[in-house]
Amino acid sequence: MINFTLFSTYSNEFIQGTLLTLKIASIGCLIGITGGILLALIQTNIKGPFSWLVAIYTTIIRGTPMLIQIMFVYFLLPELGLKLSDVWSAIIAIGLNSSAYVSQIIRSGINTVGTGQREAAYVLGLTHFQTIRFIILPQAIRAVLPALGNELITLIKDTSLASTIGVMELSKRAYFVQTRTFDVLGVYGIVAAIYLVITSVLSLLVYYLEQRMNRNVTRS
Amino acid sequence: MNYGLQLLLITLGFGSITFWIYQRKSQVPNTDMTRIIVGTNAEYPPFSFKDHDGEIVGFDIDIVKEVGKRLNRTIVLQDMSFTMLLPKLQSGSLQIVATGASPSPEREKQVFFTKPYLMNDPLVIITRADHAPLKTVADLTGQEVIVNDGFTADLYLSAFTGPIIKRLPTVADAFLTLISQRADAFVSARTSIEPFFEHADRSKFTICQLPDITDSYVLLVSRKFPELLARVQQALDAMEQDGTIATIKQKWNLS
Amino acid sequence: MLRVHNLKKTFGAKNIIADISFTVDHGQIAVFLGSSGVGKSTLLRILNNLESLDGGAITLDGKPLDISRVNQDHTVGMVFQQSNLFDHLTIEENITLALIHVMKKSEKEAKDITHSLLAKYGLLDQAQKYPAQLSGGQRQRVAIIRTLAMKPKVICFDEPTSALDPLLTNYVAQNLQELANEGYIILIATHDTAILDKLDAAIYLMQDGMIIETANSKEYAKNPRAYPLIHQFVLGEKNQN
Repeated sequence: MINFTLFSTYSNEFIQGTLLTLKIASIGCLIGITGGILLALIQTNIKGPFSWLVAIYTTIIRGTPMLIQIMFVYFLLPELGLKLSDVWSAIIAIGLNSSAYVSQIIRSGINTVGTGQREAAYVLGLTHFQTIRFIILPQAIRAVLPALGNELITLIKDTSLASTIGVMELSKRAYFVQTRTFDVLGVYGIVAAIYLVITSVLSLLVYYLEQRMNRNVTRS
Repeated sequence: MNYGLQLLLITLGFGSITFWIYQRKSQVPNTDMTRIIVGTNAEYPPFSFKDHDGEIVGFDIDIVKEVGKRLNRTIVLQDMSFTMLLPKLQSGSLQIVATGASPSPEREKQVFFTKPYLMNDPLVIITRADHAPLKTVADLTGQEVIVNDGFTADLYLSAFTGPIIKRLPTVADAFLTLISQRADAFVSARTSIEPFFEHADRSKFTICQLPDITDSYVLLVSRKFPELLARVQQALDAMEQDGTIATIKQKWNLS
Repeated sequence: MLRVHNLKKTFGAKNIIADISFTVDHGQIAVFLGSSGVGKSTLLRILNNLESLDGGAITLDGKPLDISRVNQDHTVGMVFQQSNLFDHLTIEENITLALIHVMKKSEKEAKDITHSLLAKYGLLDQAQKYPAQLSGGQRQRVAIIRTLAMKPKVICFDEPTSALDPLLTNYVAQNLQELANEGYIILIATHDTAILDKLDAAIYLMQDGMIIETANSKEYAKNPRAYPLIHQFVLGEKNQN
């Protein structure tokens, strides 16, 4: 099913494409998780305009297509003074998009941490910030690890949207090979296999991480 | 439901699917001799595109319709994306693809090409009028240059290491990116960009012709129908001889 | 000595705590007895600044008590009904966390304090385990140790026996009495009448946010009928069990 001659002739294309896809997805994910935690903390701890702003932001980002967001960062931000390369435009757009989704995931994780523990931390004299840092966030993240893992896997697939602004990630490289060889099915077979390997490895990593973090820790 | 029963059902399911696929593959594809199924991606003026009424029209469309007339067969047009055209052509569900394609030795492994019926289409470098004009490939070194994926300009420039190549799907995408100043130049065959200037101001751009390289256009024929290739080529040769091709070229302002 | 005068808390038109006054000295135990909803837990929570008060004065050892600082200053501690241990931390970490980050002790100092307290309660071998691996009784002792590590003057216990096997009641009562003997001021909120005869404590029976009868637990044991309301409550609880 997989055409190995095709792969070896164009191995550079496939490898470079895979590397760029992984780069975009991982940096995007980093931005997504950091941003997501920040947004979640604002929404759960600060009342008033900051919180509303975050809610509006997440609504807009989750309600508009990622494609439009990539275009926005690539074409409109330069007008406002910020000109990023095509790869970084994609990374930023994907990262900001992810942060909106991750913030909702983490919010639900935060809500799973019972008031009892918050009160115990309070009477021990821990500050609000210390409670978040030592008690709430660690447990919130443990609780939503599978959802976060899924988010990363979704990101891997979302990176293909970067091709619309010319980024040579894996799906664009695939198209490149297709147009030169006209062997559409052969190329798709290779690329599907690559995406599958990447997402499977990630799923395994997430599973392993989950097992380690939750060993002995879940309340019986 | 016990394991044995589940396994049996799965085997039957897979078995049926395999059998059905085998059946379909061994059928002689499309033996209807009164029609020719022609695939196209109607998003590429002037070769193949949709007019105001949604009809598929274009230079390649007129060529293939004339060929059909001469072979005494009705042309049935099917519009789809590029990635759908090729597998269908290879399987034989499409017999011909008319979509402004250009030949290459590597591509010839997958499909038949007719001889070109339109040749010597120059490649041009388009820049914004306020940018320094770029005249040769050497001028493109270090410049951000847009090409359309898989088009002749893409294949040509990819062989050079100087230009920073940006591949975008359509002519419209290319002009948008050029106008937004996210690239320095757009290189394309002249026929592909003329339709854009019907609605755009030519004075905002500088156009220079690249020396030493031209584009040519062919019909694709499925490798499942070798005798069809021969007959199509005969028809094209006749159309060239009696001036029909020249007339069609004139209609579309091509030379 | 902890003196509470005319404590009051309202919620809308309702008095959750109507007008409560009492004193508890170092080494003494005060038991606030009553069925659920009488305000006994709220009382303890107010002393821990988990709830606000709407009226009243509190002094500790002659000086006014600033409720807003009881947690930072470690004046008052609370042991919850459900222990509320931090599930994702080891037993040792549960205790060292506040020692390090609130009392600013070094890691070594914190561990030393933790280990000696764990040893005292026979839990040293559980130090690296997680709360989920301990029994209910063990978790409660860890919760007590966690509070003791802060060296508070006052320790509050909210329903200390309710989450546990009734067979452990003796053991819990013993712990509470020992803590009193060490000099802490012990306040207990409970509806469990079984511990009354195992403690030497001041009983405050509560209803509708007020104290309706008081007695010393030993005196009560000798002559229950002299304290009819408490007696009635005790019988009522016995009938339910």
